Amino acid sequence: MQEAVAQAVDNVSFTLKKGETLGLAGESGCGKTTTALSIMKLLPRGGTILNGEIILDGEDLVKKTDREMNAIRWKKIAIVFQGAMNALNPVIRVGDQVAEAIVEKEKVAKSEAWQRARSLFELVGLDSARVVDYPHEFSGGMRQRVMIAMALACNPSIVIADEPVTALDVVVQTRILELLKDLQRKLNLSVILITHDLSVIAETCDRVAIMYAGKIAELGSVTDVYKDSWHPYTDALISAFPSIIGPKRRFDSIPGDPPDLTMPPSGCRFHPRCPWQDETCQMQDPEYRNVGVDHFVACHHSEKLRSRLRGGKV
Amino acid sequence: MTIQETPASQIKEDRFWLYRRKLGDFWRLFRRSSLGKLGLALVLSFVMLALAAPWIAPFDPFTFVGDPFLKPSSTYIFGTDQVGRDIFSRVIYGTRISLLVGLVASAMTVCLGTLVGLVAGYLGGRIDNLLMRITDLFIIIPALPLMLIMAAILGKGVQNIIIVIAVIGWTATARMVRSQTMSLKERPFTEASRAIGSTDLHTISRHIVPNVFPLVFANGMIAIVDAILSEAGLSFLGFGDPSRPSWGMVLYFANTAGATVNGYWWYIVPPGICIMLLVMGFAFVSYSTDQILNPRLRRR
Amino acid sequence: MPPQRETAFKASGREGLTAELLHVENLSVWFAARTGFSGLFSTKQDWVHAVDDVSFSVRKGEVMCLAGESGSGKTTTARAILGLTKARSGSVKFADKDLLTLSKGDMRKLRHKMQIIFQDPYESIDPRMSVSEILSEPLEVNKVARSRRDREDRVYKALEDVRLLPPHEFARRFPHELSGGQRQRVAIARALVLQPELLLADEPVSMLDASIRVQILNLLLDLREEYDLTFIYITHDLAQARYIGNEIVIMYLGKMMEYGPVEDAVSKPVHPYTKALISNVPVPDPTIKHDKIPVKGETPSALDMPSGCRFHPRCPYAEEICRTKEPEFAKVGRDRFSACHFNDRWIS
Repeated sequence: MQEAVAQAVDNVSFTLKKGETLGLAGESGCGKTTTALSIMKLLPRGGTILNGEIILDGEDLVKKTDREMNAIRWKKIAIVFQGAMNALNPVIRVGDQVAEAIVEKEKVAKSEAWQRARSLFELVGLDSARVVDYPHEFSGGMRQRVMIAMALACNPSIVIADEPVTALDVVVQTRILELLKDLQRKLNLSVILITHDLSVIAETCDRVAIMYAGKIAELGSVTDVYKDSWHPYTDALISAFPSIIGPKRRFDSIPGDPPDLTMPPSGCRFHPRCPWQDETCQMQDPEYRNVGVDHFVACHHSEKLRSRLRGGKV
Repeated sequence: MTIQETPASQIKEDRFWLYRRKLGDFWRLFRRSSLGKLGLALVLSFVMLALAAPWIAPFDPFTFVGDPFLKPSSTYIFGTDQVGRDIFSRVIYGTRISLLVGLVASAMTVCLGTLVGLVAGYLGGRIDNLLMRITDLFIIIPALPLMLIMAAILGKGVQNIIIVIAVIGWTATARMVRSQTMSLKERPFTEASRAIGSTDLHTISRHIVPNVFPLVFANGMIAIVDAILSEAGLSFLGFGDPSRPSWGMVLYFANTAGATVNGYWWYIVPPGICIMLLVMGFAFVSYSTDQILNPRLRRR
Repeated sequence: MPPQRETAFKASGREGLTAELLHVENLSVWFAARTGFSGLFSTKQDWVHAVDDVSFSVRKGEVMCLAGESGSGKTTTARAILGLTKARSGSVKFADKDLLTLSKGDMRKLRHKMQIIFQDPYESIDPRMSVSEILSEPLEVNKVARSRRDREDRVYKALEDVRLLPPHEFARRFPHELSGGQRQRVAIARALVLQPELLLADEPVSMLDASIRVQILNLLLDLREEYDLTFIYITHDLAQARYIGNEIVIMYLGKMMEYGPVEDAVSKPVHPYTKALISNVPVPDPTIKHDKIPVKGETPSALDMPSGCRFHPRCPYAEEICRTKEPEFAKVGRDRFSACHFNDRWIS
């Protein structure tokens, strides 16, 4: 039983613009959830931020103490955790659970908190009379709405949603995603959407960061990233989601498995699985560089490969 | 492509190393727990005592070697009893019986309980109902009176005590194993076993039993504690075997000799402390084993 | 159903007549609902209709998809076919026998012909057994390949088939030393080692990472070609069903809603539920905007089964008759069926 250090997030940089939806996409273990937890300073025991800055409203969150972060969490940034809809306390009414967040953070009277809970329910499309119900009386989609209501309880300007629709049926998925878009417009929210599902990202996000093994492989507007990919992993990952429309053809899969982050590959972390890797890739970590208007990529051979990736293909 | 090594024999070897590694890991974790080490030390000391009794005990526990009710001295470390036997020697020899009954009775309890639990949990339906109602019967009837009645019917003798303890104690294991079996039955790899065409017996022995084992082991430790205490209690009440006195029997003799009334503390305290220490030893081992087998209990 | 059909997917390379391997007729699976204390005293039994009246046939070499969302009954159907769950009524004809009438022992003798791959690669293989033991177990249990040499050969062959190379290296490993994708390959190898005719795959890739999914899907397609296997593929992901399937059955709350060739069902769906599902599936292309048919509510619990057409409370086109009368599963085209009172409206 040895202890090992996993480099979960390495040199990740991005900006979130006001009112936009930024997607963090990637497979399990790529570091997207860890990045989100780092922003909220909610890393589990054993997780440390080694260096870097997280600037919100001119202040660096990395330097803030836990106490200072408490004033920021939920009030400026809120998060809907993965699977949270199944973690609601089954013996407490949902109204209480939402009101609890408000009372904790803003020290208002319980009655006022309940009033706000009711209006939050309306906001997320739930019948406000149902604040007195228990979690098991709600369906999956409705519980997710409750979680969104909880996140919005203190009027944050940023909401992080971690796999908000993964466990839901596809028709309910559409409605929750539409709700998020709606809320974003109404409240001028900025949203970070974390998911492994590239179809969801394509339909909901403005910009996307494709992450692999703790690093960002490519970042840009969804149109750029999906239609003019510069990184082989982006191309391969999009292909891994068969489409319901378009020509039916067989996809080539990426060989191998995602790496063990306690012993990441040398050089470019994707090189063992990349069909175009060469010696440079094996030895040198590619630079994260700007290749277009707000389009970044970390690959040694992007210029050469670009035409063979999604932009070049039909 | 030629096969260089037969996978079967290689597997046996790999399996051996896997278990050895697991045992090694287990031991390493166990070593970290001071409570566990203390417990193990206690248990092992008593086992040594039991095995080495003929060489450690200064006198024969059955012959009278001095005047009755002598206080502790350098010759008679715990003094003598009502007929002049050396209490120290009796306590040392008593270790054998207490340990023997504790281990054998608990083994029987666990085996019986596991068997019932496995059958009831896996087969379900009417058999489960029947077995559980029988279990409930044994739970409802108060243990001590039942023990006494059975002991009275079966008569004196160490083997009878073992039987009595086993017959009373199996219910807890049975219920626990049953509930674990029921949950294991639903797990995909058990279903997979059925899907490939296994008989129920094969599925139970190959897949369910090995996964129930950690629980049974932990439970077994508790059963040992229960068995030792039950034996002590039964013996104290007079149902023990006078020809093979355990610590409980020594206390029985102490009581009938009026040791409590007359204040012959050297007669009562040593066997009492021994019972306490042995039970504590097993309890500590059980506690740390629990922590290892159930990783969620481990403190970081 | 008409006895002759052509297989559609090019990979099989066969066209024309193909024999029927499995024929499911009016299969129903009900579970007894226990309702707490009242259940003890009441004599009337409440039943959960997990699967009701499902019929379809699967041709040799075909990939039949059972598709539907949570609560649709697709997994229960598959398990009833394999005899892992008890069916209430209906018949399952395979190898000239009705599986539902067989005794436990007779069923066990047939099991080697139909195998299953489960959804969870972390749970479907016993963590205490080595890969070699996991793959030998079916052989031992079915008393196939008596000699050790024979068994080894078959274990190695199965590992090669699922591309876990070198096989003797993987045979020695234990599940915790394998990744999710590798474990699922072991599960597939275990299903293959008995050389079955029919393979049931229950959401085999939904718990795997995206980049591994296509690997496994392609593997299954390759194996199908190599061994002329027949698949029943269960999934909630219609895009996956389209990728791998020839025929599809769309289920909702235990009943069949639509049946037909996958490509037709996906491009020209007939049943309103199918239409809604297809339109709501997100597409991995931000430049394609498509209208999504809104569907209100969520799938109700099977204990509160809607009357008439089970989809009516949520259907955007529901009318009075939908509430009172269950629609028939009627033919709407060549090899296509749909259960809607207004089928004629949807056929283009």
